[in-house]
Amino acid sequence: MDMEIKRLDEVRWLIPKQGQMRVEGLVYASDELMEQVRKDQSLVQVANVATLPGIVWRSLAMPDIHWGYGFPIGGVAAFDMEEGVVSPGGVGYDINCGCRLVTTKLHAQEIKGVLKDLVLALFKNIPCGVGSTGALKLKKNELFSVSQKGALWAVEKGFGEHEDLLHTEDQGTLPDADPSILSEKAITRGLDQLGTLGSGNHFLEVEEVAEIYDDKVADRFGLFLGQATILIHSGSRGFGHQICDDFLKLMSKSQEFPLPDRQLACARIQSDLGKRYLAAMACAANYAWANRQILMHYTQETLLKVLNLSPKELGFRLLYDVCHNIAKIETHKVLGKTMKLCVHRKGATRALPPGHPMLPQDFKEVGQPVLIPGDMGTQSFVLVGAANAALESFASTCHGAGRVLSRAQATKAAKGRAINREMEDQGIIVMSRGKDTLKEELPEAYKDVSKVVEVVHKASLATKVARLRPLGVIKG
Amino acid sequence: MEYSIVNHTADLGVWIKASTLEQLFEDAGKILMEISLGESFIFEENYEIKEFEIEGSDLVDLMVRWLGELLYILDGERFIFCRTKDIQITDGKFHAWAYFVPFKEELHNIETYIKAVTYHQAKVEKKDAWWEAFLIFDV
Repeated sequence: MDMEIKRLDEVRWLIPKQGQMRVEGLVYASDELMEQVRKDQSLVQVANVATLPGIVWRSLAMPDIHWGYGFPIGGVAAFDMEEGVVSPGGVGYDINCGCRLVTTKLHAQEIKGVLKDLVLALFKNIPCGVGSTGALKLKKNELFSVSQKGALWAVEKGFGEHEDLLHTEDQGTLPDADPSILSEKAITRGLDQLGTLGSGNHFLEVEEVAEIYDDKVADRFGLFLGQATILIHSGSRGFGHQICDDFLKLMSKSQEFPLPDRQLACARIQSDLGKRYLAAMACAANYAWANRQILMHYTQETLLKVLNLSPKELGFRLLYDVCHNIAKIETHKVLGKTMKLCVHRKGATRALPPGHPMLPQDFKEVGQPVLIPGDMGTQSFVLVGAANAALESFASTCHGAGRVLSRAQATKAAKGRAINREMEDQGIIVMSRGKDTLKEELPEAYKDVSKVVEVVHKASLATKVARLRPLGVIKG
Repeated sequence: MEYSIVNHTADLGVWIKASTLEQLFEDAGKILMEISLGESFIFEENYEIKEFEIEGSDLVDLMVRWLGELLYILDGERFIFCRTKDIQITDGKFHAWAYFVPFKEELHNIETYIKAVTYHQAKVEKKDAWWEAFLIFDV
């Protein structure tokens, strides 16, 4: 690939303006990760995003960057509200796909004896896989209410507590959602998929806090060594996919300037189409927050029953919920100037540093919890937003490990292996609905998440707080 | 049906080859179902028929929109596309009748959940005596 790339320091690589690029690109990566990144077309995608009108500062890529469609996965780009564009491809089909981490008062040792029963019960009680029978069946007016209220709708229906909302990005509700503009197709898909985990890389894991890096922040987050926690990864399901698809097609039809990739189809933020997309996307984002809130509630019910505990004894508490596929109107300082921007995070997580005005009171002093899931066989991380995120990445950091093997390559590598047995030998109980899910989600299919996290830690976008080790995994 | 899966880090690429443009569109639909349903891509003779009229800016746009319709019907209405009758493709317009069977939990299983058919690097073109398509599915 003939692209000029300059190394700035140990973890930063600059793509100078070339071709039609309006701004520079910046990739956060170590030598080793950069070597992997160069193998696919994701750097070209960073440069392509830099050609879009109204892009501000730099087209950014986090260390879990990999080849997506249109935007790279792991990409962050912010656009000026007057001149700039909004792109459904810069959010992705799974709008507000994200993670939430729930802490308990329990030590993992206390549940290891019943772990198999617990994972089996979770697998039975959490609707997962495609079709996901067991979902809530909504009427159209209820779907509209979910679309407008998000996690608050779920709490009002008895799924969880009001205090959960304070520990959810944007309190689990994006304003300006307008369900009246949704297509009939989106509505149909939204009616019977709420309260379902989904398939592919979505999961629910029982985790043990295996290592603490920052005692002060861990204490503030309520994390302790050996603690049992729950990590949930899910999104807006078919509802979000349809909304993305609908608007990509509308924007593709009325595209007013040439694009290097049709999947980058976009509209001016201030145009009618741009505003309608943001209002429809907010519906899907709210649906996803309601979805994770409901999944968390089902999990609590299951734990209480299997472990025969009272809610007080279990101490089930939402540490935080983050989204990693989203476009949001946020205010950031760019080269010393305060700007209102439309920030696209496609496979990237918001990471507010200490003192940020948008932080809930109890995290004001330490910063926002950032959840970075790894693969099912190794580890996940809790980080906290750090100072440089506000200075150089629109308060963003990485979102996960990032794939290195395609699903076909992973299935080939898993041929003849009993993946669930391999996991069990490591003390991890895994259950999945799909026949090939475990093969496709093979640990080797992903980058080593610790290497990804090390880069953002060194770049001071988000710093390490704790490492989680999986004990039980359910997948769709 | 002639097709091959192409490795793509996060998603799934597919090359499709057919003798006519109409056959290419029908095969693309069947391949989408075959990848989604795996070995459970089986159906009884209990068809429902639906009419499609799609407009697009070019052949790629028509293909992406056609397959998007089939994905919606699978995930939203729970019907599996089986085959077409009388496909007509002219001047940015696609018209066809298509046969579907209901998705039954006891018979069918979604083995690969395809979220969407993307425009990224998509191609529909004539090569010598053949029509070819390249598509990337978001999975």
